[in-house]
Parts: sequence; C-alpha cells; structure tokens
Amino acid sequence: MSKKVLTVDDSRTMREMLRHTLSSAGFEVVTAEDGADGIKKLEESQPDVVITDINMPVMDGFEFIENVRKNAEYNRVPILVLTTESAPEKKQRAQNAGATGWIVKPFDPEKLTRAVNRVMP
Amino acid sequence: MHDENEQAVVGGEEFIAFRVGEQEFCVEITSTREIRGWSQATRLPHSPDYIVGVINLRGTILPIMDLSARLGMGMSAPSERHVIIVVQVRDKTIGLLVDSVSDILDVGPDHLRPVPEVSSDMSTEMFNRVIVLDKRIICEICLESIMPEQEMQAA
Amino acid sequence: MSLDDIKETFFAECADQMADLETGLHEIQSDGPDMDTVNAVFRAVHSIKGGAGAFGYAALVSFAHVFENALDVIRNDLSQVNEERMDLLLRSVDVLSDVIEAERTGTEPTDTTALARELEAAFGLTAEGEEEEDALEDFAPVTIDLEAFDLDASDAAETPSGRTYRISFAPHASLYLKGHDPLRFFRELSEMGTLGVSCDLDSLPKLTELSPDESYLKWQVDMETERDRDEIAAVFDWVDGECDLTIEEIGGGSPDGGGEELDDFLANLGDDPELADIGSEETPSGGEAASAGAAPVAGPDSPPSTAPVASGGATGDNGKDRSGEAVRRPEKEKKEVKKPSQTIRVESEKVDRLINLMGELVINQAMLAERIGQAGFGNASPAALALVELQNLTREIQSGVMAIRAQPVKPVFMRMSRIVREVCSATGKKALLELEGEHTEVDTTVIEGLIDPLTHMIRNAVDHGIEDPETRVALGKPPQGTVKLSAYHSSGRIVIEIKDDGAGINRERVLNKAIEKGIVGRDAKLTDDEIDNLIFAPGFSTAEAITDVSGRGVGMDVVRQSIQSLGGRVSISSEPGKGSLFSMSLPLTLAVLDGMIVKEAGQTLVLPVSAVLETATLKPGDVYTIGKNHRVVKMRNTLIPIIDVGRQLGFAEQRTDFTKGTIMVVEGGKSGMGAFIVDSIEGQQQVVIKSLETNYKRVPSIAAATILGNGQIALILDCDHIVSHNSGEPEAELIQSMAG
Repeated sequence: MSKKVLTVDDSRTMREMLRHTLSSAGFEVVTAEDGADGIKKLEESQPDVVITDINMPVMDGFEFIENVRKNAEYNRVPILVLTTESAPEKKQRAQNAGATGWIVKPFDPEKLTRAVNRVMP
Repeated sequence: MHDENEQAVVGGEEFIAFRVGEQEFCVEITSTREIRGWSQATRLPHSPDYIVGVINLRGTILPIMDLSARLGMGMSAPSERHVIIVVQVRDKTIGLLVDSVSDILDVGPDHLRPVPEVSSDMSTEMFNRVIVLDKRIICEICLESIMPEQEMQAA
Repeated sequence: MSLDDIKETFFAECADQMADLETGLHEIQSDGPDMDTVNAVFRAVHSIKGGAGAFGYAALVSFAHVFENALDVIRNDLSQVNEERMDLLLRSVDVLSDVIEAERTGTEPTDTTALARELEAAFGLTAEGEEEEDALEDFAPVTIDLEAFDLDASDAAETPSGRTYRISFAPHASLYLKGHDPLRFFRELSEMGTLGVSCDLDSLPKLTELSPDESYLKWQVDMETERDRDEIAAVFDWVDGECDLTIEEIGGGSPDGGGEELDDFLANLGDDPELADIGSEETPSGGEAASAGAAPVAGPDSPPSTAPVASGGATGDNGKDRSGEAVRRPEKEKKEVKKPSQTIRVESEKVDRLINLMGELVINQAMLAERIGQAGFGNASPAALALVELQNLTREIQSGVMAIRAQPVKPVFMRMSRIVREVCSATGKKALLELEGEHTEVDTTVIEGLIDPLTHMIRNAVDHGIEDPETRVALGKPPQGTVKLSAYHSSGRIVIEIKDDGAGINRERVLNKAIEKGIVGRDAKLTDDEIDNLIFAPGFSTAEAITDVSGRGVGMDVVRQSIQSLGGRVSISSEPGKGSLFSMSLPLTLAVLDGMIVKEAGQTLVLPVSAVLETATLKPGDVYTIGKNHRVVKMRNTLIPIIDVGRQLGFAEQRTDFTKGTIMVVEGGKSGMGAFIVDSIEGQQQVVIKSLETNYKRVPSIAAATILGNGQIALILDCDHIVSHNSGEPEAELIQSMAG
C-alpha cells in the first residue's frame, strides 16, 4: 500500500513535475489545481501528506491550509508548502495557517522526497 | 521462407509476378500492400497518359498508374478482368494497373541478374534486376523510377 | 511523462500564462487596475518563474523575477499604476515572450539587462538589491531549509566526531495542530546518531482534568552524533515557535560555534593550564543546563558549551526581516471565475485519424442512404427511420470531433497587440488594440492559416489607417487611435473584423492608381465599395513611401489570396475620415467544405460554395466574343470572362452553345472573377476534403478531392488557378479594351 500525496498547484508544469518526482519515489500522487479543488480532492482521496503552492487562483494556499485545519477530520494531515516565496513573514503566515513545513521552489527531487518522508505519518 | 522447399534458398527474396500484355514483370512482395479488382477511376486533368485517374481506397485517394502505358507498351483498356496491385513507394501509395497476377516467387540470388543493356525505347532504368527461371524472364520493376515526377512543392 | 514531456507542458503553459498576462495588462490599461486582475497577472509571471526555476532556465528566471517584483509593487498598492509603467510592463511582456522562446529553442536569449534596469528604476526596485541577491539565492537548485540533511562528504570530513547533545523538547499544543508528530522528530534524529529518549510525564494531569487539546508531554533526548548543532536544530526548524526547545552539547569533541577561534586563542596562549582545560571533558563542573523547560537529568555533567538556542533559531533563512511587505489575502473572486476544466493532451495525429474516420463515416452513411433509396424502402420504413437516427448521430459525432480541434482565436489575437506596439514604435503613431470575442473557437488549422494575413492587416490598419497623433488632434480625434479586432460565429462560419478609426480609404488616390496600373478602365464607373476593394487587386499598394513596416511588394492581394486558400473571403468597407472595416469570413474547419456539386463533361466536380457569387443561365446575346476565342459575359456591372470548365480541364472540346448549361460567377482570387460554365448544378452538400498530394502530387486546377455517397471520387476545383490560367491574354487588358 503506497502512501498517497496530494499536490495542489495551479501550474500544470509544477503538477507534472511533482507527479513525476513523487511517483518515482514510490508515492501515489493526486493533483489539484487550486485550493478549492484541493479541498475536494482531499476529501475524495484521503492523502497521507499534502503539498501546496501559495499563489493560486480561486483559493490561495493560506486559505487552503486554514480550511484543512478547520476540518476535524483532516486537521492532523501534514501539509508542506511549496513556494518560491522565501520571505520569513510568508513562512510565518504559512505556519500560522497551519503548515507543517515548507520547501522552496525550485525543488530538488531528492530533497522533496526526503521532506515528504520526514512528515509522513 | 519455406525451408522444406528444395528450391528455396536461405536469403532468397519474394516477388509478386504479374502480366502486362505479353510480358511478365514483378515487384518485391515487401512493397506490396494489397491486390484488388478494377473499379472505375476518376480522371485527373493535366496528368500524364499513364495516370488513369484516382480511386477510393477505404477513404484515401489512390492514384492508378497504367503500367503498360508507363513502360511505353501502349495504353490499357481497363476492364473487370484487370487487377490493381497496391504498392508503397517511400511515403506514397499507388495502384498499378496490370492484366493479371501470375505468380508469387521465392528467388535465390543465383536467379537474379542485372538488367541487360537493351535498346533505349524501353527505359531500362525502370527495372532493377531480371529474374531468370527455366523458361521465364521476369523484369523487376523499379518502383522509385516509375513514380510520377514530383513537382517542386510550393511552400 | 518524461521530463521532456513536462518541458513541453511547461512551454505550453507559458503560452497560456503569457496570454493571461497580456490580457490582464490590457484590462488594467483600459479599465484601470483591480485586485483580481493584478493578482492574475502576478500569478502568471510567478508561475513562469517557478517552472523556469525547475528546469534551470536561468535567463528566464532572472527576467521573470524582476518582472514579478515590478508587478508586486502594483499588487501591494494599486495606485502605483501609471501609463508609463504600463507601457513598460507591456514591453516587458514582449521581451519575456522572446526569452521564453529562446529557452524553448535553446538559442541565446536576448539581453534583458537594459529592460530589467528600466523596470527596476521605474518601479523603485533598485533599493532591493540585496533582496535580489537573496531571491536569486533561492533559485540555486538547493533547498535551503533541508540543507541540514545533506551529508556532503566534505562536510563530514570537517565535522569533529563523537559529540553528545542533550535536547529538551516540549511541544506546544499548536504543534500538533499543524500536522506534526513528535515521533517523527525522533525518527529523524535517530538517522543522525544514537538516541536515548525519555519522556517527562510530570505535567500530565489527572484523567478527569485532562484536556485532549492540550500538550502535556515533554521529552529529553540524549544523542550521540557526528553532526553539529545546526544540523540538529534544522530538524526542528518547521516547529519554530511551536515548542520549547533546547539543544546543548554535553560532551564529545571540540565545541563548535566559535570553537575554532577558541582553539586559536588557546593555541596562542601557550601552556596556560587553567585555560587550556576549558572545554575539555575532564573538567568537573556542577553547572546545570539553564534551559527553559528542560528538567535536569542525571548524566555526565559538564558546562554547556553553548547557550540554549531559541528553537528554530538555526533555520535556513537567516531571519532577514523584510517587514513592511503587507501580505494581502486575495479578495474573493468577484468576477466570474472560469474554472479551468480538466484537460488531457492528445497527439494531433490521433485527432487527425479520428477526423479521417469521421469523414469515412459521413461518406459511408451517404452511400447507405443511396442504397436504401435504390432498394425502394419508403420514408416510413424501419430501414429509413434507422438511417435518420444514424444521420443524427453522425452529425453529432462530427461536431464533437471538430470541437476537439477547435481552439479559441485568443492566442492569435494576443499576438496582434504586439504587432500594434511594434508598428507604433516604428511609425511614431499611437494606437490601442481592442479585442472582442477572442474566445470564439475555430479549427486549429484555420488558426494557423490566419496568423499571416491577420498580421498584415493589423499592420496595415495602423500603418495606413491610423493617422499620426498631430493629425488626429487637428481633426478633433483623440491622439491615440483604436484598432478593434473582433471575432464571432455567423451561419457556420467565423467572421473576423478589423476596424480602425483612422483616415479610411483615400478613394481618389486608389482609383487613380488602379487606372494607372491598368486594373480598371479609365472611364469605369465604380461604386465606393468597389473602389475600396480595389486595394485587394494584385500588385496594388497604396503606400506612398515604402515604410519599414509594410514592406515592399506584399500587398493586400496576398492577404486576400491566403484567406481564399483557407476557403475564406475578405472585404473592406470604409468611411473617409472615420476609418475602415476589414471583414473576413472563414470556414470553421479545413476538413470539410460546403461544396457546390456540378456535372461537366460526364464528370462530377465540386466548387467551394464560398467562391460562388451567383448562378445564372445565359440567353443568346449575353455572350460577347473578344479577339480570337475569348468570350465574356456582362454581369455585375463588369465584363467577366467565360471559363469553359470542361475544356479547361481537358475533358471536353470547346463549347459552341453557351445557353445550354449553367453559369456560375466565381471569385478567382488574384485574377478577379470568372464565369464558369458547366452542364448542370446537382446541389450543395458538405464534402470531406481529401488531399491528392498524399499519394500523388499537386494537380493544376484541382484543389483537392472528395468521396461522394456512391463511393466515387469527385475533384474539388481550384477556382483561383482556373481563373488565372484562363488561356488567353491577361484579364486586365481585356477589361480595359472593353471599358473604352
């Protein structure tokens, strides 16, 4: 039973990159294209770990994380933020919203995998 | 390749032989796509006399070449008895109008000869080799050279 | 999906992002900035940058980065938008798209330094030089936050081995709410050395008082490792502020963190025994770890060589505070957000195959209909009813398949705004491109064929249509002209219009020129519309001076030709002083064609309905003979040469009686009109276009072929070619000789 990762990113390229990296690492991958879609996919697929972008249309990453954390059923699922934003206050905000950790884009496949494993239940 | 056949030679080649008028010709079986009966062709304007026209081959437009006319042996009068051999030359598929299919041959290298120099009225460059069997001489058609001239494609 | 596929995805996505970016900027330019649009354009550049970083496209990353920063200024304060900045941003769009193209093709990207400087200057970004550096550092393909786990050999070599750390870890309740689990930290630490973990249950209340949302447990970990403290701290960097954490070295090798300096210091001191002993293991000491929340435990006592660290103090980002950057939450989308639908990528070959099969289906169905008719089934018979069902299904499948290849014209339209900008900067004119109906869809092949003629017409509209700013002001017009590009569907075709508010056509000049060039007779009476449309005549170009924009020799006749080769038509109407309107109508697809089926010389032939202007039958006396063998007919206010189709194609002898048969006035592109005469018109139907070139070659006078319901092939005529090769003297002379 491979572990399932949900990736939320509005960039098709990024979604494919993540799918490529994570499935090579042996994870099952579910993708969503924005926060709202992410919430839907989260409920459908019950992932073990979530990776989300911050800058997204419809519902951004902060809002997405807050929504996940509000939901008693999923509030313990680890959420990694994958973002180009390196400003400390952005990190702080992600953390306040309830992020488990963050990874800076562009990611190194090996490190991404390690980060996912690091928070994997 | 049928190894049980005494005559068969490993490394032999297979040909489809057919009649055009009184003569026999052949093409490599690997170039042949199918053999079908004659059907009424649509004439093409401004085309050489050896292009009979085009027919519908399962949705593609197949030009039909009158091999007799192409080899300078006079125009055929296509009828129900005629046969079209569909061959592929590079990326194009064309139909050769012939009188009938006569044989499928498996020929060893001993029976394959270069084309002899004959008078120039029948363009020898349209033949690759000659198959010499007991009582038969069969010219192998060089498909590349019988193809209609390609005009310069306008960009 | 291989990496190459993902690259392809990236560039496809870039194209979408660029379109969004340009659309958004134009919206901001015309309607003023609103938060949603600004966010959308920011996101577009941001995504491009993100993807570019992933593939290591350094040139693209660095320019996108500056671009993004410029947009960020606007994102943080909408009032920062002004005209000059918008122009600069739009110019940056062009350059960005060049850089993307260069990365895609692997060619040398254009030098963006100058423009980047301009952006920095205009948006006040220069002060953020260090941020720049910092940001670029982010794009080193190294994830700073995770560096701690790198066991580079070089690092290891320099790391003194065999240290013991004591870690006190007291999670706050919030740590658990962020998806963390203490166990994971221990798991991670255990990969770095050997652990002894003890749990401190002192704070645990009675069960009756226990709140499930509180955190009562603390842990103490004694860890033997070869790593230094920073690496250990890095394990906890994601829980910065979510726990009380101390990490102290309680024994082992030389102290780190300034240890080297200390060593040097000691070395310089020479043999001072007291000092020399500092930090060595044998030093007995009753010192306790003065650490917050860590209960002292029995163990080898030694003074902590380092002060307790604030948890997370050693995170990868060096805590550079960029306060003042207001973090805004995007407002709820007020505009109707078109949610992107799920897409799949399909090779176009597969779609082409499907289109071919669909053509087969249409043909086969026509055959079946013919057979059912021949078999004498009545209209109400089950067979006939089943056929009707089949026909309906076929039609639906057909439109479904066509829809697969249909694409909005938007990308092509977006390209045009760049053309407008280029022509403006080359001519000193001011013009704005307005788009309308850019979501109108049409077959991809049509879109491809549309780019060149459209580019040329847009150039023309600005270059010849729009007046320069001074002239416009003198005429009481706004200095900036408007070119409006719109698309809409109309009766199964797509209509594309280019409307400018420029000078319109100078009819006097056009007419004089046409007469001069022998295109019309000296005394020809032409309507305004007819004069306007003379600009499409071959070799006609009104440019007084050859500008560097319109280029030499390419006139509107070429535009008309390329549109006609797509099965389309183009016309112009203009109002002097008010502007011109070019209108093109094109088929929605190049795979099927509305055909006029005719019989001539025993052959069935097809003409594109779009080329047939009218049909007529002739009476004796309608036909004039000119010269040796040329016949013309007087129609539509002009003399039109009669083209005997059967003879032209070599299927029949020259006609003698022109009253038998039907005349079709056909638009023949460059050469004007021709009156085609055929034996009879059979009707109109949609035909599937089949290329003759696939297996044969181009045949003069024939555009393509199709397969009729009876399985027979019918040829589709190339009207342009037939009109222009109507054997005899050139048409121009002919008309002239008649007009006198």
